[in-house]
Amino acid sequence: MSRWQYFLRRLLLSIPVVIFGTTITFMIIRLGPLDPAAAILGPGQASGPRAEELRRQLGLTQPLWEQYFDFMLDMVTFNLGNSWVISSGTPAYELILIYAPRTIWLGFWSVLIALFVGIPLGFYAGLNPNTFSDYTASFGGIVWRAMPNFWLAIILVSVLSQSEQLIGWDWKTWLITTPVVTPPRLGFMTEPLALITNPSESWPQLLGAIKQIAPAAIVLGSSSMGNEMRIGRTAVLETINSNYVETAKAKGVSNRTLVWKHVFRNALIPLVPIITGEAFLLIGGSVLVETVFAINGIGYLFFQAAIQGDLPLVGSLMFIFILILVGTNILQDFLYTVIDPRVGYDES
Amino acid sequence: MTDRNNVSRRRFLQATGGTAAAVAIAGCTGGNNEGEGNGTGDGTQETTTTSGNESTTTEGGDSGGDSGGNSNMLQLANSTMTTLDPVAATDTASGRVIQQIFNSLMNYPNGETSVENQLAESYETSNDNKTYTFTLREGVTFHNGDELTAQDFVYSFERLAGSPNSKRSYFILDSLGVTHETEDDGEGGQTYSAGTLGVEAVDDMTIEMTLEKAFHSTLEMLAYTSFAAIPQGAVGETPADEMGSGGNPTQAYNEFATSAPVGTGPYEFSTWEQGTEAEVTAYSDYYGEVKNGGVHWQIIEDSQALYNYGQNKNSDIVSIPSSQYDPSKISIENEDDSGRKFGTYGPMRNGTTANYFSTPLLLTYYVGFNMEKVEKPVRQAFAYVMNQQTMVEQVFKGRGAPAYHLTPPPVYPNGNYKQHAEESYPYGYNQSQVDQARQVMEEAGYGPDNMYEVQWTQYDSTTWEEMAKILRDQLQAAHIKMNIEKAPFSTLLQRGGNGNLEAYTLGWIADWPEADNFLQLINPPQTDTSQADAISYLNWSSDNGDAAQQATDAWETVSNNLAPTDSAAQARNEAYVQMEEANWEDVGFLNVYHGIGERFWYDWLDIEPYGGMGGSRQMYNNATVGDRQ
Repeated sequence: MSRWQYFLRRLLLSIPVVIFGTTITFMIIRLGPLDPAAAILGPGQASGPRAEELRRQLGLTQPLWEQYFDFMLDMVTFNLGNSWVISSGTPAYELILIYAPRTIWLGFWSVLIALFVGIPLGFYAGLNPNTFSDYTASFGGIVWRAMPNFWLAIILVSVLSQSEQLIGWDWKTWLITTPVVTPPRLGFMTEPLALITNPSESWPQLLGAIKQIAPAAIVLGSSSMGNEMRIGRTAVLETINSNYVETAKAKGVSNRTLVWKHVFRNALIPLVPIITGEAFLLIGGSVLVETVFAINGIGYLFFQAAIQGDLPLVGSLMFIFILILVGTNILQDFLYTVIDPRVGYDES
Repeated sequence: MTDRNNVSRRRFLQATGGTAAAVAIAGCTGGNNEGEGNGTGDGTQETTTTSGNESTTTEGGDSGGDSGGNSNMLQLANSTMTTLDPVAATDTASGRVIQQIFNSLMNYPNGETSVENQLAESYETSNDNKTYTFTLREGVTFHNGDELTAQDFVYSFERLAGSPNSKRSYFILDSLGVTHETEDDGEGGQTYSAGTLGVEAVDDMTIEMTLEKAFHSTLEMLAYTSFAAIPQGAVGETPADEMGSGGNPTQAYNEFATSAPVGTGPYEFSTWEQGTEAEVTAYSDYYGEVKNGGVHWQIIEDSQALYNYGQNKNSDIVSIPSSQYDPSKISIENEDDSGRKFGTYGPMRNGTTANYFSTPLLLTYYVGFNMEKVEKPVRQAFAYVMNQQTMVEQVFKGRGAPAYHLTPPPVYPNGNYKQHAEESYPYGYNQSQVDQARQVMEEAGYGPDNMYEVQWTQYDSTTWEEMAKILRDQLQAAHIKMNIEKAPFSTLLQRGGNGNLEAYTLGWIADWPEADNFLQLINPPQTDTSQADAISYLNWSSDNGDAAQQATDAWETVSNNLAPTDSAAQARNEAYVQMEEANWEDVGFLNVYHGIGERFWYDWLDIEPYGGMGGSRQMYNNATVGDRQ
């Protein structure tokens, strides 16, 4: 089987995965104890004719299989429906458009920090094994990895809030004045051209948005940064000791070419699934950090929807999450097929 | 009021660490997450919403930094809002903003429990107290420039009763009991028949409203924002037009509810970005005075984030979650007649000392007993060992008020709450009397080898659990073995309704500020769980309580004296006390504590304290903001 056939097969296999995941979502939200009528009316009024009327209006009294097919059809055709509780009547699309940019902004920077700090450090440590700098970097990686997000976030918020009293340096007014908590202003995203046409206003805004997201991004990126560092180091060590590197060295390949051409590319292979796996940061992993920094993003929306029994919103968000996860997995397979020619060839 | 058996008016409160109530429990208030929310009559939804732990809090806010810092604006915080449609909002977060944008006929000034005229210039009642005629204030305009007329109110009330988006139609149809007709809904039920509401515009400035039965709290009900005026036809010719095809609200409705609400209040809507912030600005043509430029709310759900936000002086009012709350930092300077305490709190983390005040809210948490299953000596033993004062101090760090009556202090007949409790509470006022508990159990034939077993069922709440453990240990000495069991809230209610509970925990928040709203819970015939419309699960009857008849008779007196007259009020007040005392005798409800509202604010903000209806009912147009430091 060629590797493109392999990729195609992975693509087709993802369809039943999406259907299965969506079905499980339906089962959890419809068969579970969530009662949207109670959420809308208040718990004391979950019984009685008013609640029955509301359930009928919401279509909760139809047979379950009918609800299931309606739900699946709506999802597959991207008819995501309206929120019932959180913002009654607002389309799920609109809510996602409001909440998602912050989470993406946060996720973007946290992945970036992990990539551009974790991987170089790991490679550096791997190229200089068992030196003092290797130990420092490795130990640092373990510490970053070990600090729980929620703890680090709370400490960081507290310290930054009181930075003037504690370390005599005021974070809030440094460079540009920003609050420690609350979401950054992302107005420039809708008009990226303003960065050129109106630089005096939009650049400070961009700077403010980056500064404001930085602590949260560091917290969120910290554990994957540690991860990538450790794995990068191991991968480099493994490659550098392999026979073909030995051979290359023997035939006189310069050190620079050796590292960039032979070591770097091969060491990247085990890192690919780690990096794509970080896509989860964009979803579940950010809920805690978003909460502590009061960045009300998509994780917050999902959590609110879940605890308030906003069934259509929970279902729609879950469906989108499933698509994102399956999508990143496909992307990972794609990268594999590109980076590693061995993938997909049937050994037998 | 009329028909007290209406299930739809129930207001059970769930005090979990996760809910509003809890917050209240935690004594919190002021605001944000439901904080004071508890104070609101219409706040049932609060109990389901939001965040975690017993935070507490307040309306914090954003001062500054990036938001431009118009020093004239109040900078506050809020929790997640759902809608700005007055008839659709059930949560306090939305209510807080709606209160600023919309006005009603009557108003609770600063959230106090007595009402005053707002859009009504004056009113008259007929001799039988069933017909109310309101004359509107002249020269009031909506934010869209239209003049307020009686037709606007007819439209608004019709929406409240009949809009498919209305979640408070029972306020006008049942609680207030405005005359109307019903029709079959095609499913065997009855629904309101559109256009039959007993509210008429006599002329442009006069409204006539007819009730099915006289009701003492008519004006109080009209002060809820659900009864607010919106311009005629603002969201459709008739309420039925608000729903488009497929059961989704129309575009016009969505706009009104999220981006273009129009009222007559002191503030005009400016922005609301979901999950981020909301802002209203002073309405220049307001008939009254607006002493500040507007109000900005930052939406923050997490109590810790909220705390940091306040400590960074981003808000004028700060929030102190229970974990950061230190009772020794409070110094109370004075206390007024309604139990409000004023003083300071601090120094806080940022070195500043904040102003402080607290007020009891219309909210009571209690332990209920299924009297059919739990013998009277056991119930009395519970009452003897319970020391409300220490419970509040130990479990809530003092952020609650000990409860001896079911009726909260602000609405207790004749303001006599404290005196009556001190003089007459039979089970030791602020005392834990384990000896008496043991004695009453021994007289009933129980002893160390013959322990009485009782099941304590509570919803998921760390505070109730802590209390349960304290009680369990104390009751051990009184020959009672108590098993603690937790159940989800809905399960608890369901089992209660089926009569399957023994001792259980619940709370009640007022629909209207009078004692009968609370005391209906202990009207013995309405506690019979074999009836579908039981509103509490006591099964109180003469078979299991000596005072059941006294309570029944007293409720009879209340029901016969519902009119808003002094003599009827006098009769009701006496009956209320009778009922409280009957409950003391038989211990159907063991009252534990009342929620309180607290506010911590910086010196540069000058704002009136609020009352028992809660801070979310306070309008901010009289607050002034000085220079922030």
